[in-house]
Amino acid sequence: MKREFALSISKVKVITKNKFIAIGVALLLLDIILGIIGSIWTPYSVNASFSFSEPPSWKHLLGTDAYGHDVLSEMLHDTLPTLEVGFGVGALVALLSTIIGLLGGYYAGKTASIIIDIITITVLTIPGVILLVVVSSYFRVANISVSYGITILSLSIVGWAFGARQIRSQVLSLSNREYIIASKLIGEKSYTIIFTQLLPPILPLTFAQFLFGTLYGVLSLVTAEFWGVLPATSSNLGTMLAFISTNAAYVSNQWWWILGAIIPIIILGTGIGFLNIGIDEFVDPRLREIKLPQVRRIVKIPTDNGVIEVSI
Amino acid sequence: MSNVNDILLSVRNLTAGYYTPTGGFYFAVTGVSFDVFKNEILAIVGESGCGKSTLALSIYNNLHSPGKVLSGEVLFEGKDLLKMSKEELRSIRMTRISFVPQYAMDSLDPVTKIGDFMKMALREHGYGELEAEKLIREKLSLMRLPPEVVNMYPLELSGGMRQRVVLATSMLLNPDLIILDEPTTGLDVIVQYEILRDLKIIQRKLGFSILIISHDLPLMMMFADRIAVMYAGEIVEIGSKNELLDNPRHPYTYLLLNSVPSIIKRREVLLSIPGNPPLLTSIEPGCRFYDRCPFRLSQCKEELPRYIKLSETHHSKCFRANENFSSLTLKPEYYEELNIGGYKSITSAPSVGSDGVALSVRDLHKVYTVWRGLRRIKIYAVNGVSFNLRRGVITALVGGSGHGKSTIAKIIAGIEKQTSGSIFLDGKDFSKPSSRSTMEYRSKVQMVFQDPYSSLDPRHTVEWHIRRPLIIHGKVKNENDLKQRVVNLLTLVGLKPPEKYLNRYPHELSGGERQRVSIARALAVEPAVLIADEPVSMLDASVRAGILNVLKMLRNLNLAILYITHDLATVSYIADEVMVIYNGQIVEKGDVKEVIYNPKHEYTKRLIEAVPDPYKEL
Repeated sequence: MKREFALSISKVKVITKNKFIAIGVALLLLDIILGIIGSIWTPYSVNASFSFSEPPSWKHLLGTDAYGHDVLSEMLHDTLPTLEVGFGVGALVALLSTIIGLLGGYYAGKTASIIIDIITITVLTIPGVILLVVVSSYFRVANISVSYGITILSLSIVGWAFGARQIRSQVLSLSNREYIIASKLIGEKSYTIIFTQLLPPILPLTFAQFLFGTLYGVLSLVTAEFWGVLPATSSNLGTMLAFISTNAAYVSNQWWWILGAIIPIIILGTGIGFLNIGIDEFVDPRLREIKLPQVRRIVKIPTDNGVIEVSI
Repeated sequence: MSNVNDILLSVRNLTAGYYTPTGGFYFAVTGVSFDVFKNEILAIVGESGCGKSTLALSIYNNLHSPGKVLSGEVLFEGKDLLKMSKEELRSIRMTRISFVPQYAMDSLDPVTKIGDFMKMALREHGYGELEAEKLIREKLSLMRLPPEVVNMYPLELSGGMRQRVVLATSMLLNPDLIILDEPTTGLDVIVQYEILRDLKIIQRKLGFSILIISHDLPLMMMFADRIAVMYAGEIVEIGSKNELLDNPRHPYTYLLLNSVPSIIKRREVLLSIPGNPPLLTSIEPGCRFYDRCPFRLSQCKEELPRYIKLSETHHSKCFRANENFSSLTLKPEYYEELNIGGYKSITSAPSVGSDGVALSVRDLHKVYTVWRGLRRIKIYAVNGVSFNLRRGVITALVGGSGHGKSTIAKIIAGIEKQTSGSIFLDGKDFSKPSSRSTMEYRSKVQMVFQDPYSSLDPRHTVEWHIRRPLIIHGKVKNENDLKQRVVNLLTLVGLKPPEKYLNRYPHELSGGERQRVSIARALAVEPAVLIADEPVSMLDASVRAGILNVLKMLRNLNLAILYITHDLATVSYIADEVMVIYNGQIVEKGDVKEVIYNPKHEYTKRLIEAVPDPYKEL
């Protein structure tokens, strides 16, 4: 027990010491905090009107848009719903890809797993955004707006396949290790092997799936909204982009409006990138940078020709 | 021989090591000095982690960050290799000194033809096409390779041929010294024997020097002229082969020599060396072998012994080097005398009228079909094998790699399906592959794997590994009982004190300790049959004997043991019966002494000839 505790402390230390992980976590937290602030308080009401298309000033830090709304307020207000969809997709993708990857890898070669493989490859070929468009057009015909729940679901249903392939190949190689064969030989049940011996080593991969799932969710949502094919119930960064495109803000050089719509996405993407590099280093110690000691010390080494001094 | 003019290379006070990720330093080689003479084979022998590979890399000035040579000189013709510029080194490498790193044969570029690979090296040294081709042909034939090899890709060659290619490449420019780092690891015994034999013939003919790094003391005793025994970053004893063999004067050498089985001088008991080598993150003043030494004195802890000169060539780093070790008494832990006290009844009683046969295999076949284009080729991995495993008897299955030993083990263990043939356990038919994955079969047949580094789950403790089979097979009534059984099992396999090991993780154990845990896990089920697939081939010599002694002792538990190996020397030590397998067929079987001292089949004779034995000369 004590040893396990000590082990977890050293892991925490590695995580906080790793600057990539630290920066990544900080950026993700910043994005979430922006979103939470926006859902409680914004500098101006999102519906308040000011003069149109004003460049940034002390009054409006990110200027105003073509409708006279404060861009910073809009950005803050729209961040949280966007992140919710992202994290929702990330969590679901991580869950699905882990379960399917574990089963597909452990039972590789058996009929059930061949079926899983075929489904995985099929799903791999369907782009999430397209499914989202199809689903939402159905909803539009039925005259119902698409809830974020449906969005998350349809993006996740086709988003797990890539991760599942990755996890499957990892599980496949783990399943052929002798300690797994030994567990089978002593009569260990399959589910015990899967959950106590195969799941722990692939958890970092699951986490990576969550990160990329999140990014995939946010980008797909924004893309779909940008195309204007998603009749959403509330505004998010994608709807903001949709307005930018209908008003051709990039032609009239209203860069502040575009900036407002993409800042949270840039922060999220950069944070995920840093986290991913950091986790790679954490999982694979070979990638860790070896620091040579700053202060040299002298060590005395007794040898046959007397004591020699070396500095390390 | 030790004339100053004969010195080719001398290493003085070499100290090297590695920076650790946490900012510390790990010493691999500390203050090593020795000479390599002209026209000799010098072997540096030591167990894994003793610094022998680092030593070889440092000599070749090829140790890269995070490794670093801290001090010392490597003098070659009066010049220090460690102080040379890159250009000077390039002109010396291959022409004067060649280096064959470990696993070089597996590092050949798969898309470059052998001839092109060898030419590339020559082009670097300014040789033209014609000249290069002549040199390549000459060296290939020297290594007994057909000239067609130049147009082949590495994947078309066997492991032994690839190793021959690598060795031929190292000899291309007739260097004065070739440094070989574990040149035969991973090769079949017979292939290993033939390569080293040819190498020695070539060395004697051309008169260059070889510095060879190996973990295999018996093999080096056959191959080398002089031997340096390395332990924890130091050369503890150096001397000619015969001096070390007949008269070892360092306790480590003495114990190592008495830990290896030999066919020529059969030993009743093999010694093992308890404990592990020290981790050299700091340098203690005393002798590095102190913790494991049976003959230690109080002064050994305070002061590092210096070399005692025993003859012109023989030096030992021990205060007691002038004493005769065999007259000193050894503590029982070096004999691995294991107490099996309360374990007499570990296995279920044999069923009536089975004349001791626990498992019997009849006419076993395993056929793999491979497609070569549209043609289907059948490959017989196991071709009609029949044998019985009897309780209280260790049956050895011996053969080189690729002859079907492991396939038989896997079929019996229930990991693989056979193509045809039947398997009976205590008279009951378990021929159907699915019947061998039932709890009934698994409670009777267990297996110990070859690689101790992958047979334990890195994320679970030693205790967990022993607990699981006890719980699954309902061997215990309550938590206290469970704890007691785990402790008993660890004691049985010689992990003492067991409490110390309970909460350890596999990465905190040495290879030998892991293998003991692996054996304890198999025994927890209380099986009738134990399959041990090359259980000691990946272990260091100092712990190998310990595992062999454990297996030997397990026979007394009325266990039928199938010991699978390529090493006839270990067979002669522990087994009662032996079966020799060749191309999937058992070509010879019978009593161990009968087969080893009076072999009938040609393959058995070749195996016996090839087995490393310190008392043999190559």
